[in-house]
Order: sequence, then structure tokens, then C-alpha cells
Amino acid sequence: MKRASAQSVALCLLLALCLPLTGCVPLYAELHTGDSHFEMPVPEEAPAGPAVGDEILPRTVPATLYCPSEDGQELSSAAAEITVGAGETLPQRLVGALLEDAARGVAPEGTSALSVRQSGGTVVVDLSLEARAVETPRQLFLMRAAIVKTLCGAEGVSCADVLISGRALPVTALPCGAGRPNDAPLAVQWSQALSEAELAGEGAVDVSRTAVLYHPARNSRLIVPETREITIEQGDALSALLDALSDDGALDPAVRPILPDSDAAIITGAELVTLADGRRVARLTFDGNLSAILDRARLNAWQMYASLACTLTGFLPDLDGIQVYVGDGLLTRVDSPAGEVALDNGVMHRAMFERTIGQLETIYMTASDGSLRPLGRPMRAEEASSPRQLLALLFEEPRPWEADVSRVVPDGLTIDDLLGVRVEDGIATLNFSKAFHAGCQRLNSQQERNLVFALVNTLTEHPAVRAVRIQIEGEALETLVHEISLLSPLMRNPGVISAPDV
Amino acid sequence: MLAYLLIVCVSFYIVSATLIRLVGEYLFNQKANDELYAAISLAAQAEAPLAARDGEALYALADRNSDDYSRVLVLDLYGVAQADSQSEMNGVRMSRREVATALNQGKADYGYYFVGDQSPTLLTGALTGNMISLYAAPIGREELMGVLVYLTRSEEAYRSLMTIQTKMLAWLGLVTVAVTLMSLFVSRWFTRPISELNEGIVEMANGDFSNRVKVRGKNEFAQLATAFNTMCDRLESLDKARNQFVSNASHELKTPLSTMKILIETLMYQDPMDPDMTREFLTDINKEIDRLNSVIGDLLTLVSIDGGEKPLDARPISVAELLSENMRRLQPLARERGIEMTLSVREQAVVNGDANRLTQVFYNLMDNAIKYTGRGGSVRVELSKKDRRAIVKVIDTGIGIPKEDQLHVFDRFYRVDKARSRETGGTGLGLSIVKQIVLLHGGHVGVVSEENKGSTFTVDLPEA
Repeated sequence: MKRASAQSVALCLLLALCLPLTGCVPLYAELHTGDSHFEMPVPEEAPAGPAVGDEILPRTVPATLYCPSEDGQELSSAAAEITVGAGETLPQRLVGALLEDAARGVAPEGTSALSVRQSGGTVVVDLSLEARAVETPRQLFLMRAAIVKTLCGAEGVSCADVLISGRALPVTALPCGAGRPNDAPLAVQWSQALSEAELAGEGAVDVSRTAVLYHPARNSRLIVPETREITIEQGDALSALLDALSDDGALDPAVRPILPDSDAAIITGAELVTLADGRRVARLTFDGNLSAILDRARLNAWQMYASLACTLTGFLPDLDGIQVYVGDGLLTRVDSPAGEVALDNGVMHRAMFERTIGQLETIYMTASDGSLRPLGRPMRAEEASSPRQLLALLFEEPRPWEADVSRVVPDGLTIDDLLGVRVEDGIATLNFSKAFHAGCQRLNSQQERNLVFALVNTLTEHPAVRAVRIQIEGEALETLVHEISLLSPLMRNPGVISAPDV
Repeated sequence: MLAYLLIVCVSFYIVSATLIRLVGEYLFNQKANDELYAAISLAAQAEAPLAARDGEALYALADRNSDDYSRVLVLDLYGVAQADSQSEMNGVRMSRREVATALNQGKADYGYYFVGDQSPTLLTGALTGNMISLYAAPIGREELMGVLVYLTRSEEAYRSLMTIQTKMLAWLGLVTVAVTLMSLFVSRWFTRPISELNEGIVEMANGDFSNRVKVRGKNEFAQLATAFNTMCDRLESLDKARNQFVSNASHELKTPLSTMKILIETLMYQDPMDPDMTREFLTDINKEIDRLNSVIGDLLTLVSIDGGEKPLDARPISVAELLSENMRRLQPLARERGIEMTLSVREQAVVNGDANRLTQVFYNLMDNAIKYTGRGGSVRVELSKKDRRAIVKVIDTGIGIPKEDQLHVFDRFYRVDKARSRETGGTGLGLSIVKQIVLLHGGHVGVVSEENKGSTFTVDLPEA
């Protein structure tokens, strides 16, 4: 009896030993809990040196240059390595590459770029007067097409406008507007342009164009460009432009329309006239109470004239400038930031406002829902090229009209805590002080993430920056505060960006 | 018993758990293979934007390939998330075994994470459910650049498995309980007769032969119980017979001794005694001694037959001759008592037997017939054959045997009429000896009798 019992017990023990072998361990025992023993790798790469001072190292960008073919019928492409130095932009270098070799046949010899401005995805190229030496409108069309296609091939550029000495290209009587990439054969495009110009001149068709509008920036004396699709009805491009300038439907809160809808009646007359000296101008007649209206609308007169002059001359072909009548009187003097300026026969042209033209840069601050809100900031081009200048905007308080956003940088920290910035190979290395690190320690996880990605996203708006490395006094810390690792450069995080206010 | 039940339960558990595991592996492996392939495919797509550090493109890729039930992350060589379809883990170093495997060994890996019903964690993000699958595929065909992590909700597969497991465990429980109850019932049903039998044996070992086992049904246990009860009957009968035998033997031995004691004491204390009287007393004492001697002789004969001490001296014997010889020996006694004694041989028969023993059989039967037949009566001996057996009948017209005594006339020391039996000089062992000798020869002996009309003793012996 005892023997049988012992055998049974032995058999039970044997079966029990079989349990693990036969899979009686619950399935979820195999699930990982994250605390298993493993080692995360540490890549073998040279540690990034500390960023001291501000430095943007030249970068080389592969690009495609488009030039008219030998028969002048199409564009031919050529690969090029474009080196972009400090203070330069890729569009500037691309245009320079197209123009520096006259043999390319893009523009007449001696043509240079007076300015190449990029704001958002729009590039406006102002060529020197030598560009007018082309023999035919078709050659002008080819020149524009080559520049537009070359620029639109660059990253971040969606359309380009080409001016000559501050004036729109007179390819046809109908404005060309800003160009976008077009894969149709040039011959087809040219035929279409001629046909449209003819029909629009007869008022037979309405045509759509991409216009670059210039709007006054809030809290600034700058005007900033904005690209908008407009419809030219019955060939009246002037009215279409003025209507577009009056429409604030999609404007960034950082800018404002020059002609608010409620005050649309301030322009009582608008016409294109040719003066006795041969200049072609847009004559705009304002209400006699213009000063009071502008004061009430808190509009700066200089900015308004700059907007009108730059917008109209940049769009309407062969337009030299604008004449402003206030009531019955021709405006012959205007107050500029540099003082009073006497106008030649009351004509205001684009060159007068060249230093007023800025660009809208985007920075990011925390919105009330915890996301990062993109905010426009008008800046001069030379300021926008500086990462430090861009980041300095993050240390400022939100603008008065930006009520539902807050600063991402903890209180008490200033841009001086940024000890150095170095941009190299698309990576911006930010070297912050220990005071900055200490100041960040009171941030929660959400605030930490918003701060880091406000820095990253703001800097990656800069064309030379693809990723951002954050150092604290030259050292790459494991984390800034909670979870955000500082071991490697961080890329742009588009997912945390909320829709902008308009 | 409990050990066997435990074996049954453990066996059930092993079968169930193995089944659950196999089903689980099938469910999860199929899902894992599909999703791992998806992760590897996405990793190939992420290579170019990761090389260009194009955060927008990486996010677009992650966003495009995720939904409410999945999440895509792109990690760099440090395991730091550079793109996340939910934009929550950007910048966070993802310390997971699968990521480490992909980065260290450059091969895809996957695992399951049980996250419970807790609120969304950094890992799960907007993914809900108890279980998350994590797939990590290395990015970079020629040079490792990072890892693509593909997180999916495995809730459905997990729930299916849990449902199967729950049902299987429930069935296991039910089957275990049922098997336990049935085992208890069946084992009790099986062991109950054995227990009862065991109790009976123990009682028997203690000397109680009256106990009987209850017989249920007709199966083997019932047959065993019946056999046991039969054995008990026999043992009880034997025990009674033994007791009766001892009692009878004691009585038969004590009676002559008592008589002798009285006679001897009379002779000793009655002095002087008449010589004739003394002679008569001594004659009586001598008779009692003869009687005692006769009883002891019969007992020794029985003992020798029972113990098989003297084997049969078997050889072919003519039954008719034996009967004739005995007739011749007893004829004078019959004549003296006025009894007609005849022998009728219908057929000659030869049996294989011990002549002396068979002589004792027939002599006893004939002698008894003469003793219990009154004057003017007859004793007829018949020899015949039937079915190769010799049939000898001793038929008398005597006093007969009461019906209730007929069954016991062959018992030892059994006397129908005790006083008369002693008077006739019987020891009460004659018929017992007859029966034993006949049985020893493979024959049978029986009696048919009617009171006051006579008795017929029949002996059948197998022919040689």
C-alpha cells in the first residue's frame, strides 16, 4: 500500500516537473515589462564640440540649374553643388550661379541680382536693369522660366517671382505673377501666355495669377510678402490687387491689411497712367481724411505706401511706381523712418522701400491646449539668417494679440543664456548655460517637451538647419529634465504644431 | 486515491495549458509575422528621410502608416525617437529590449507588452487595450541608421486567447469536479463489496462463522461474495460438526468409563460380594471395555481414512463375491433373529477397489439392516449395474428412519434412537465409515427410508 502511494507521489512530481516543458506557464509570463536586462547602444561617433559664439559653417547643397537650351525652345538642366556660406541663402546662391556665367544664357551679360528675398516658400528675385537687354518677350519668358524652375527645385521653395529693377517683367501685357513649377513644354506655356494676354485684354476671360502681396507688419515698420492666388477679371489687374490687399481673410495675425474692408472707400479712384516723362504709374486717389483714417486704423502711412508700391510694381508689368492723391492734392512728400522724403512728381517706386521689406519668420510658443502654436515674426532678411536672432524671439513675451499662447522658456532666462550656436552639416548645436539648465528643472514633462521642440522647430525653419543638438556648457546630457534625451540631435517635430491663428 | 485524482487533475491541466499555448502561439505568430513584415517595409521607406534628417517627411511617413490601433516611431542610433505618429515620444530614448536588439544586432525583433487597463503611458499613447505588440526593424540597408518601431494593439488576439483560456479553465474545473465525484462514486462502488468481504474475513479470522456478505448484482464481486458465503456456510457447518463430533466422541468415550467406574467402585466398596455378582460386574466391565475399544477402533478407522494414512489397495473385485461372502458371514445372525436374508445378483459387476474396505462397507450396511429389522422381517441385497456403475441396494423391512434424521445418518456419532443404538452395540460411526470408504472409491451412498416400513441403502461404485 505504501509502495503504491509512493509511486503515485513520484508520478505526480514527474508530471509537475513536466509543467514548464509543456507550456503550462501562462502566456503573459512571456510579455516584456520593459525591465528586462539589455543594454541600449552608444554609437561610436566623435562627440560634438561645444558651440562657442555664433557660427554658421558653409554647406554644400546639391541642386539642379535650368538654363535655356541652345535652340532657345526649352530648358536644359545641369546638376551643381552649391555652397552656401554664412549670411547667404540657397536661393541667393542659386540665382548667383545662374547669372554668374553668361554662357548659360539665362540673362544678358552683366545682369546681377539686386536682391533675392525668401519669405516662407516664396522667393522674389530682383534683377538688375541689364536683364532688360533681352531682345524679345519670349527670351524674357525663358529667363523667368529658368529662374523659377531652378528656385522651385530647392527645398522649401514653392514659387518664385522675378522682377527687373523693382518692376514686374513685361512678358505680355497681362501680369505673369509668381511662377510655380510647371512641367508643360515651354512652347505650350508660351502659347498659353500669349493667348491669355490677348483674351484678357479683350475682357473675354478671367485669369488666375499668383501675386506677391506686401502687408504691413504689426508692431513693426516692415512690410512682409504674402503669396495669394488672385483672379483678374476683364483684364483689370489693378482692381484685383487692391481687392486682395483689402482682404484679410487668411492673413497671419502678425500682419494686417492696408485697406480694411470697412475703410475700402478710402481709395476713391485707381487708374494706370503714363506721365509726361514716360513713366507708367498707378494713380491712387484717397479720401481727404486719410490721416484720420490711418490713425484710427493704427496704420503707418509709410508702410501703407510701401505695401502699395511694392505690390503693384511687383505685379503689374512695366509699372514704375504709384502716385497718391489725397483728396485733390498730389502727395509730394512722405515721412519715412529716415525722415521726410521728397517725391519726384509724386511717384513712389519700389526702390524707396527696399529697406522696409522684411520677411515673416515662424517661431513656436505654447498654446492653451498644450500644443506648439506657430507665430509669425517680421524680420529683416539679415536678422532672419541668424539662428540667435530667431531664438531670441522665443525669449520674448507673446505679442499683445497673441492672447492664448505662452512663452516656452522658463521665466528668468534670457537669450544671453545661449552661450553659442554652431550650424554645421544641417545640425545646429545650441550651447546653453548651466543657469538655463537649472531654470529648466522646474518644468514638467509637457513644458520640457514644448521648450525643446519650440527650439528645434523654430530653428529648423532656418533653411540651413535640419536638426538641433542641445548642450549644457558643451556637454550632451542624458536628459534635459525628465524624458527628452540630449544625446543626439533632434529633428523637427511637426506633430506637436497646432494650426496657426488667422 | 487522492494521488490518482491529483494525477488526473494535473494531466488535465497540462493538456489544457498546452492547448492554450498552441492556440496562443498560432494567433500571435501569424499576427507577428505580418506586422513584422510591415515594420521592415516601413523601415525601408524611412531610410531616405532619416538620412536627410527630414523630420517633416518622417512624420508624414509615420502618420500615414498609423491609425487608432497602431503607432509608428523612427528612432536614431541612440534609440531616441525622432518621429512619432502621435508626436509624444519625440526626443525620448526608447529603452526596450527589441530596440536594443535591432540596434545592437541589426536584426528585426518583436515583443508583447502587457500594459493592463492603466491610463495611457508614454509607450501606449493613444493606443488602448491591455496588450501592445512592439516591432523593431533596423533602418539602413548598408549602414545602420536607426530603428523603426511599429506598435500595434494586440487586444483582440489577447482577448481571444483569454476567452479561450477562461473557457478551457472553466471546462477543466468542471471536468475535474465531475471526474473527482465520479471517481469517488465508482471507487466506493467498487471497493464496498471488497470492504465488506474484508470485514467478513476479519470476523471469520476472529472465529465468527455466522457473518455473511450481502450479495448485490451478478458480477464478479457478487460471485465472490456468494462463494465467500458458501465457504462460510461450509466452515460453520464443519465447525458445528466438529463441535458435535467432539461432544459426541466425549460422550461415547465417557459413558463406558462412567459405567466401569460405578462397577469398579461397587466392587471396591461392597465387601464381601457375591462371587457371581462379582463375575457379572467384571463381565459388564469387560463389555464396556470392548465397547470403548470398538469406539476407538472406529475413530481410528475414520481418522486413517480422513488423513489418507492408508492408501487404498485397489484392484478389480467382483462385487457379487463380496456380497456373497458378507451374506455368508451374517446369515447366522439373521437366522438367529428370525430374519430372512437374500442376495439378488441381476448383473455381475467388477469394481476397482480395496476388498477389505468394501467388505467393511457391505458388512456394516447388512449388519445394520439385521439389527434394525424385527423378527419375521427380511433383508434383501441386490446387485445391478447402471451407467457403468455397480449399484448395490440393501433393503430391509425394519423400523425405518424418520425423515428428519435421514440427512444425518451418515454423520459421525449420529444416532436416530440413541438408547436402541447402544443396545445394539453400535458406536454411531458405522455409517460414517461407510460413507467415507465409498467416497474414497469415487462412489455414493444414500438412503431412502419410510418409518416402520423399512430402509433402502444404496451404494453405487464406478465399474473397473
